Amino acid sequence: MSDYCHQDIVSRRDFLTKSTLGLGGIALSSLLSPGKLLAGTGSSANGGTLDPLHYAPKAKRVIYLFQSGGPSQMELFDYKPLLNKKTGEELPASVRGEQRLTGMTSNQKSFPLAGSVYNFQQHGQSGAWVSELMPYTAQVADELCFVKSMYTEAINHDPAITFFQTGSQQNGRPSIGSWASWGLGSDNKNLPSFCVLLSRGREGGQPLYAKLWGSGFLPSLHQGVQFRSGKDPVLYLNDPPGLKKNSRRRMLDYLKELHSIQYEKVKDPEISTRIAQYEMAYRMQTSVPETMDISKEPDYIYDMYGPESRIPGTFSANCLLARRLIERDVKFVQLYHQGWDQHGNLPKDIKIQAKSTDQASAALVKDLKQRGLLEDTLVIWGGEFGRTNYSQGRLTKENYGRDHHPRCFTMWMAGGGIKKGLTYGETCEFGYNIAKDPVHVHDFQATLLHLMGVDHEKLTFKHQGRRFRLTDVAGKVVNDIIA
Amino acid sequence: MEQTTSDLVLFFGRFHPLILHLPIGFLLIAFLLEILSRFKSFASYQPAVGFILFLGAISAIVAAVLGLMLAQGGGYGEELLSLHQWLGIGAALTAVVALILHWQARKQASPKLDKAYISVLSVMIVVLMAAGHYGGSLTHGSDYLTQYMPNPLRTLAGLEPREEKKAVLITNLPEAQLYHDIIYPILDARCVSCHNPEKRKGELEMHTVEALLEGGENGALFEAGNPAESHMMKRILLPEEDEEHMPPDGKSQLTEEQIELLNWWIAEGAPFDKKVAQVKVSEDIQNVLNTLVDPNANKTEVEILLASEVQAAEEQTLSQLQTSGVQVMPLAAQVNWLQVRIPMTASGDSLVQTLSPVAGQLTWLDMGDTQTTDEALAAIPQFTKLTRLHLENTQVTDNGLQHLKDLPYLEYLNLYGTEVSDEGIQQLKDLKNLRKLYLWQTKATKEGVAQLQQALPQLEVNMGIENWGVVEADSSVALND
Repeated sequence: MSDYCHQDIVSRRDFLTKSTLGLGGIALSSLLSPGKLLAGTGSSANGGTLDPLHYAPKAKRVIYLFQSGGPSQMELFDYKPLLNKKTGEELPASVRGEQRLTGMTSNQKSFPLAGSVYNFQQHGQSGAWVSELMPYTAQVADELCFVKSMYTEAINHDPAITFFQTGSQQNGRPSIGSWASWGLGSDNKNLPSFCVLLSRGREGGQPLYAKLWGSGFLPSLHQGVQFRSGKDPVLYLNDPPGLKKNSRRRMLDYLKELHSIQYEKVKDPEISTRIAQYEMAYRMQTSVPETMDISKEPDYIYDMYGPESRIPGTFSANCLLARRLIERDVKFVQLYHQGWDQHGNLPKDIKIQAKSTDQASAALVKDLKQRGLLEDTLVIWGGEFGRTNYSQGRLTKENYGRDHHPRCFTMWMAGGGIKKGLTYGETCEFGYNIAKDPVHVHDFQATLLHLMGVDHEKLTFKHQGRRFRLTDVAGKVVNDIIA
Repeated sequence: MEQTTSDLVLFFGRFHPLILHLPIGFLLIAFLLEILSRFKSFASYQPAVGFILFLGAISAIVAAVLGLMLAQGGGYGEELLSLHQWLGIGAALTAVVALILHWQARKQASPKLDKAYISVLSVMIVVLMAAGHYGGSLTHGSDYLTQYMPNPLRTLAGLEPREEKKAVLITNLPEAQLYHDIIYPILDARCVSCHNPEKRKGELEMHTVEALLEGGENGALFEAGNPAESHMMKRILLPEEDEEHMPPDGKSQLTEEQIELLNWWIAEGAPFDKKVAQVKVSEDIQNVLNTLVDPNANKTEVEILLASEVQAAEEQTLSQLQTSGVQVMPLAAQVNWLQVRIPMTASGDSLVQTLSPVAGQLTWLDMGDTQTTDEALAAIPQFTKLTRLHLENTQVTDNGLQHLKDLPYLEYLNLYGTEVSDEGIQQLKDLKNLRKLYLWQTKATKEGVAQLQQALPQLEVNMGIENWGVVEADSSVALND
């Protein structure tokens, strides 16, 4: 695959590779394919590198509701009556095994098991267990597929989130959305195909960095574009006061000429990326305000997403925005919802936290469904790891905390080719280990790409002398959850 | 593997396939040069023959020794192995004899000696060829060469005409023999090529009932009634990258359905004489069995359509469409079915006409959120292979829906946010493959939808969200929020 952006000029190396491999020889097919939406990208009709996809896509679009901090599966979805029976007892060493602990609990003298203070019930035809903290999610249980046997390799936030979003615990790899944008292109030339929405976390939320939606070694055109709440949704997009629209246009045209001259000289593909980004930004001056203007949404939609949806920047408002972006054919929307890191005061804090995500997440699923979009839009809800079945710090009747736990946690997915009304995988009765059908982070990523029509082993990019892919050298598609 | 064989022997034995081609090449070229050098104009080749023959003899001996080492590992049919073994040793011996005679003949030329030399040399070539042939049979199976021989040639060679090896479909399922008609074909296709009298991998043969019951070097192959404890199932279910996984990595693998069937057969007591009607059949197994009668049993008509081949659209047509502002793409690699998106800023009315050249391939058409009226729908009947159609938030009305009447494969239809009403949607009642219909924010009512669903019981209609009541979370913990 060529990492060469601008297709009308062929580098010596490109020419040799292509002509020796007989791939279209000298007449590069891409030279002849008009109607390209994005200059300087791949060869498919919408600018993706994969032409065509490996499989017919079941999910054309993805909304990933990332719950940053590590939501406690024990209070939300993973019902463990044994923990309530044994609350206060010591975690058996045989269950803990060799698990490494964080510096926050490794010095604890005892590990008292902590049952959830919240009650669980089964919901819907599928009989999925959901706690009372998630009443709205419980309503849509039959649309969801709960994966209770997720596990990861990292034990602290930053490496764990980086692992989930880029397939590596170290920085510098492209995020899932960038891979999708680079591989699958864009279906709307006026908006970036990878958009990021940050939700205002509560005090003390774990910080998030732009590297999580960075494009790594892929052309920077494919990095996530962050939308903010407030007057300037995308920073520096608006013209300064007094600048006329046609002056801006003329300026861009001359800039493009200058860039092209420089490109002729040094052949740096990032220059064509730059040209494409200026053009995209110009188009976004019109498309972004129109997309971000949610004032025309009817009241019942606001009511559906919950009272916070009227406050820009909240998770609920962002769910509503995510739907608007998806309606405009944006390929990958990455939301972040901060504040799940409950080492102490868990019962009180998780209630507030659940309240801020429950209604809007469920509303998003229902809203996509009534528009006929859930058919080929995949919604994902989950954090970077789970939480321990024992208390961090003192355990009292109504208060306790939980530490990070990579060995098992729960995520849910809905729509886009995922089986609905399914609970996949099981944890042991202590809720500490996986008892059945483990799903590794790479397996999850492989499955996600598969749903988008991509063979995760074939979407590769050569960089620093070797080929890289999102799932690195691992990952198995979880066929049992695919409809 | 026998414990008595040292690993070192086996290690060297594995080099047999690497070395054995050297004597074949050397000895053959020696023979040819010898013959050629007897002609005047090629006499200058003569001195090379001895040297090449020497190389051939040495490498033949090495190959034979390595072959004996390889045989220690077992897993080959006795008969064929011994034939190949003796022919191989024979080839090495005749090569040595030929070499000695060659040297003698160089020293003192006598017609007798020369005759002997040429005869031995000829015998050597015949033996060598035979050894090579049986070696190939050991590795690839004895019918390797003739497997794909065209029938006219087969008759010349005195072989039975080849039977078309197609999966035989079962016609009468309850009367079908469970082992003979269902299980054996799976074993035959996936296991027998390595577990047969000629190639007994793991001392196991699987081509007959007796052999299956006998098991292999790890004992019994299965425990009737207990698939979880059956050696065969354990090996099959290991991850593919596992050394012990069967069939080995790189060979054709069993499908999920085939594994289910094997599992079921063992669970039912691994009978060799029962009919399907005489054993328990769960719903899942019934679904798999149905595919043995009709491979498309569990597929919808739409799935069958999209799995079928269709001629590719012309490259030129596609690029013309792109130029006219239509986004057109194949569904996937090696699939010629096309998906089309009319951009939101465009009008379906003007662009839909341009799609006529790809009417045969077009299966997903998205005109949602575009300027599209009933006029565009008039062009729709030609797209008989449409399975998904997006018309949400367009200006289409009841009047336009009459053009959708004859789309036999239409499965998904989105009309949310349009002017259609009860009267219009009744025109969809012949779309027997329609499964999903979106009618939120239209004039359609529950009564109209119910009427349509009487004609189409499998149709799921979404009319938007109802009873989205506010839920109050009660918590058992009193919190001072």
